[in-house]
Amino acid sequence: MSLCGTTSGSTFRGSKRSLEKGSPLAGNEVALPPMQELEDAGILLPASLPFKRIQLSEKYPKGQARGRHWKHLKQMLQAETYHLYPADEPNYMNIEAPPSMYPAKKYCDITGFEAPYKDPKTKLQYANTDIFKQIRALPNESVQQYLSLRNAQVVLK
Amino acid sequence: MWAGEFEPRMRFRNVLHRPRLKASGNVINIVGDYDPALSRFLDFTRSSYRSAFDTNVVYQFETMECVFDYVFNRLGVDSNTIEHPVLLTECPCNPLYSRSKMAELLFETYGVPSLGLGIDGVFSYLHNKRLGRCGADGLVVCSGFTTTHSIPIYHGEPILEACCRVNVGGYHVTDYLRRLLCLEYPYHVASLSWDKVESLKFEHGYIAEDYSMELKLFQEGDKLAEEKLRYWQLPWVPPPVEEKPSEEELARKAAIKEKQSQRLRDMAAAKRSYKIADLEAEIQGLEQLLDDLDNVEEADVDSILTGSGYSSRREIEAALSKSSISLKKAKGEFVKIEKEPEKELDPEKYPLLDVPNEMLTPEQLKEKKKQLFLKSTAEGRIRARLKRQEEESLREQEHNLEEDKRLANPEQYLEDLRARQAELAAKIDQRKKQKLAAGSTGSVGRSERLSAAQKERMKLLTTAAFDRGKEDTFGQRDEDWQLYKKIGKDDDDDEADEDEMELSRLNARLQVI
Repeated sequence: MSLCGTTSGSTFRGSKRSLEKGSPLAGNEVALPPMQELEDAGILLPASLPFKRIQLSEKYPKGQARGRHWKHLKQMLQAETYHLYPADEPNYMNIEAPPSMYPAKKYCDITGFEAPYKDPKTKLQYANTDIFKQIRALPNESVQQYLSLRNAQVVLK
Repeated sequence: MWAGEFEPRMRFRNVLHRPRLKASGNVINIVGDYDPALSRFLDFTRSSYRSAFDTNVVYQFETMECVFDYVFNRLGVDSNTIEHPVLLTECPCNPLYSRSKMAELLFETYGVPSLGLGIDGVFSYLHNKRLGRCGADGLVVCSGFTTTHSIPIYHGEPILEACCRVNVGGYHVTDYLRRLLCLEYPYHVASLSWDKVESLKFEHGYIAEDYSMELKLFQEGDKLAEEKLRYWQLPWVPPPVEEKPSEEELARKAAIKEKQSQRLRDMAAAKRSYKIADLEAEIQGLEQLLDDLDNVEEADVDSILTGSGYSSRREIEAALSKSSISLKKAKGEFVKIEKEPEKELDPEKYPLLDVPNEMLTPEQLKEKKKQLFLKSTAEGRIRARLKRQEEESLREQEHNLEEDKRLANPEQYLEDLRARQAELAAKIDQRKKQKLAAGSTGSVGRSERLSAAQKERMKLLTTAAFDRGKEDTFGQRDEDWQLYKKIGKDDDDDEADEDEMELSRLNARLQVI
């Protein structure tokens, strides 16, 4: 995401603040209070910013459930009235690509090369006999984890 | 960035951190990446990354507001309101709810005069078109963090009806890489953090123009593949090098050892002299006894015998010879190793054995039992000795055979040994792995958990139970319990032990040779 603003004259601070590192302590220097250091580093923002009409602290007062009522994407999409628009009008749901018509290419689960073979006992796909030996020596958990990379693991529910 | 500039003013990761300040305990907001040196002031135990997005759509506007604050502040806005129009990018076909919330945020909280929203991929295409890199028609494939879109462009206008989205993005790639690495190197899971893997992906990842060609390249292991390989060295601390002790240290240690051995030698000598004195005294006593026996008359023999604790003259002589032998040994003289005279079964020791039971009194019966027991133990001892001698001779023979083989054909012999060693090692490894696999049960179906032996056992048991028909009469007949003999125990352990012993023997031989 990027922001652009047109340069039609208005006041703004010319140079940007560089992000400085916190000053190192040396010898007898008194340690700067942490707030100062952090501000120097440019991380901390002042509590109230001049260009805002409503400050953050007012909008979300401390102690209250801070905006936990945000709608997630699924809820947003459910609430949308896409059915009122003509069907070929693009919207968030229309755009989603359907699953592929071509069968998936088989790649080896262990090495990633092309996998012409499949182990009947563990259902892992492999590329050559050395990998097969490794597969047969794997503990069961690893086998299931390799399968889950492909979404082929055994789910017991 | 401000309009008219070519490079963005700020680049940061679009996330929000909310750590606590260690000093005050307040929660502060930090946007994007920050200098890790400052983390000593911040307490991250209860904070987490917060992103305003839910798969490419903004839904958390509080986080969004923090980000905007940060951006406007860093860009240097310090007037009362924001006086510039704002241009924002969004995803294709952004849901109305999100768009309206965003507009609300910008207009009401920031007082932006006007707002424009556009698709980032199309902006980039237009920019490139202006630079002449692409024509008026084309296809944009823009890959994001969680999604990838492909947007066709015709006469400079995007055709959103034909746009397509796939929910695979950089996040999925990094996740996949991380899981693969964790499976490949399970001991290093702790050092394979998400951030590290992501930086690896940025540094070393590239898009292959022809995927199958690239795969073949790596599979064949050409020089090109070698060049493309990257090695990553994890932080490693070398084991501490032991400094060789200096000369003085060595000398000192040697002197101490000498002193200790001298002390031990003195003690051993003292013990030996005591032992010699004792043995000599004993021998004298025994000789005295013998003399007494010789000199005295028959009648007093028994009393002397019982008094001395030996039951016959022969015993005394045996004890005397034993002590004289040990005395000689203690004195360090060369002693011929006489074979122990075979303890013949003295018939006079077991007088009662030949007398049948009815003629004896109860006390004599007890005596007879004792003598029977003694006789059987003596026989057993002789038998054991014979067996041991046989085994030793067998082993000698085998050893000689091996030596002959070795001398005859040394290389072949070595090869044989090594082959056997490799075989055994492989077998042991496999057995160990099987045991491990069988032992560590994952959350898999029961059929996979049971090894072949256990399955056999189950089958036998169930068939046994079922054979009787409807009623379960398994244990009522004695023959039924013979089933357990068939099942057999898990006797892998014996084989494993034998294999390991053989392996160790082979190793020793190889070292010798």
